[in-house]
Amino acid sequence: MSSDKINNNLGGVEIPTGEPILGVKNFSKWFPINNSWNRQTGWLKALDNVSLTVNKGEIVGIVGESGCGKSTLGKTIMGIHKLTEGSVNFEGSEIGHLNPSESRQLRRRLQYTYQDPGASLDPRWKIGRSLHEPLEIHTTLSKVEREKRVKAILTAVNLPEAHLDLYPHEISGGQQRRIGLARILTLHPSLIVLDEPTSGLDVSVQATILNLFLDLQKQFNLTYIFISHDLSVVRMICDRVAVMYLGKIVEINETEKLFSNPKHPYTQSLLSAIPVIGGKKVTENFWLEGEPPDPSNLPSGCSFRTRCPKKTDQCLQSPPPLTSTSGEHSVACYNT
Amino acid sequence: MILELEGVKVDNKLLSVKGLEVGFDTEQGLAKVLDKVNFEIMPGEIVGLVGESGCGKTTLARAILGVLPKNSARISSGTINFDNNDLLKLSSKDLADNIRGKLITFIPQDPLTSFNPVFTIGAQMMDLMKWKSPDSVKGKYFTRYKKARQVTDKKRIIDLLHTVQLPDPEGILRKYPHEVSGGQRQRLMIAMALLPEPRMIIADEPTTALDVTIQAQILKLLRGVAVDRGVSVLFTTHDLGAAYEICDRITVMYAGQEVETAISKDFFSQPRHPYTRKLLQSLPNNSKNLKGIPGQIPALINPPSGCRFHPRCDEAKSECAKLRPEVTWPKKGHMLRCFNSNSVSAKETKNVVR
Repeated sequence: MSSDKINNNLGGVEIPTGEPILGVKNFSKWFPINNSWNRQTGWLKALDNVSLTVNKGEIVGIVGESGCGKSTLGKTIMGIHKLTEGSVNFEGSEIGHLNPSESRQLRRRLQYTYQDPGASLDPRWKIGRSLHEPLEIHTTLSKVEREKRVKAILTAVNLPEAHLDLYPHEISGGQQRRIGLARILTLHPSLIVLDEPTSGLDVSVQATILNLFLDLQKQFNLTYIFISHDLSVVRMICDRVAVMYLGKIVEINETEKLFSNPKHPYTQSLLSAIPVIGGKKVTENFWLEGEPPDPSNLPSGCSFRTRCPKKTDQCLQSPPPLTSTSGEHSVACYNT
Repeated sequence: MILELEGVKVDNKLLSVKGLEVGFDTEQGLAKVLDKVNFEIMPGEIVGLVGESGCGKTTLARAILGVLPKNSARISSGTINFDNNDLLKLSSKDLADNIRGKLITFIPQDPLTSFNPVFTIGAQMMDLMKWKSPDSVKGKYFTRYKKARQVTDKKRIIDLLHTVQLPDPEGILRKYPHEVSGGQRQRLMIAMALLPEPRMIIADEPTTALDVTIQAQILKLLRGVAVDRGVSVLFTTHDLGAAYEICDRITVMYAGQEVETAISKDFFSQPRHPYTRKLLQSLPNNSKNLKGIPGQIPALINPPSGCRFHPRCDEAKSECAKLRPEVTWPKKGHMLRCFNSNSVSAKETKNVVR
């Protein structure tokens, strides 16, 4: 596929389709909370004991409300945040506690797209320069070769070559997403973390971008972690979905099974909140009250119990573990 | 909701916008953002204004409120009739004193930036009540905010905060805007929009920044309070799902032209305009073949002639590029501006929505 060989021992192994490419175990990310005198007063548990496996060629969706730790999970896997506890295994090697130069090598194979592509492109750089930058950092290609690669990738994301000479503000939001994706794809990664890739787009543009994701996945043999709060998009594109609530995965299952038969009360409420055109109106029978509690001051036991209609005394005492029920399905609830 | 729009025999329209043409001066020339837009709202009705970004939804809302930027906006023709007043002919003082914030209020998309971060929520709500409370004295600027009025207004605020289901209203009034969550801020905005007891609320994408569960709660609340009080709502959104949830009637705009208006039920079961149908088809659904709309919204400096959708339309004919289609009424209460209205049978359109 590419002329340059990967010259490091990290992430150089090609994983066959269907085998685990990324394994996250007992993953925790706690942020310290400091008072005005900079003395630590507590912990904000953004991620607490999360375990997740992603197989090669799969699209895994991560859904949940804002503040539930979706983006923190993506960023901690990438090494943008240092993880507090646990381990991450990527393409056969442990990447949890790497130093900066090692993780730079790794980021060729493991990439992250930010929520707002407009803000992550340098406003004073032409698109062409932004596309050249990753190649300059990570490869030793000559300028001519780089140009060839950039043009090829631009065709892959369906943009005309003329766009290389434009500035980010001159192109539309949908095109900015394509550029953001093109920047990442020039390095031929194997796993991409897509953080809210369609938020802020109109439905008609969103549809074309989603189709592009699916096309590119086939073309470049990619694996995606798809972080989104839009459940209808996740249903359309993902193979498996993990539902998160306040730093924990509460349910994980194959997409169709999760959507047709949700077990956790939170998943049920989340699904019943999506407006379905032609269906029953959500506004007439939505039952979930209140908002998620403050993550720096979590309730004891199950963190959903404050809003849960099925809570029992057991939920007060200890948080329910994520237990596997059948096949791919796991749920963290005592009362399923 | 009784709608007799076809014969235009309705006298009790709350708002009627006719032939409104708005442009913005830019360095490249005049951007024709609204092209002879007609739009109506009945008393107590919730009307959705749907379209992609850049189609003129917000411009229309701002034109009604009279807050278009004075140095660049050019209103070349049209009338905005609200409660038998032509808002375009009123003086800006009249508009500010009696209409804006009193008869027509506004719910913004982003409630955090609409609050002043350095004052408590209570101080800001009392400030609103000082000028816009139903008891406030009209037209006098240097009147004291009398204690007795402050007490009744405070009571009114607390009552309304209970109505919008905020926990501990007294406590919230002492907090600063950053101390409450996004959903609560949007509830506060709804409360502030209702406090002056308006006839109409303009809600500009009020749930776009919220999570689905919070969106469901907010939509339920907005519909509830609007129906209880008989307030009309102009609900602009790009989310057809949200429009389905609360709207009585939906108008679709494309590049500054209104293309179709229908009662919510008909809108989703029998969409007639090609743009509407494409918009509905690009919603994510269970099948894995999703269709977007190829191309993009035209630049409004030099928009396509005739029907502005014709360059992206599959069914475009030669006349589409020449003339903008006239208003037709394929069904009672269903307005369409397309030359191909007859070619679409009801059977075909039924299959559009999953």
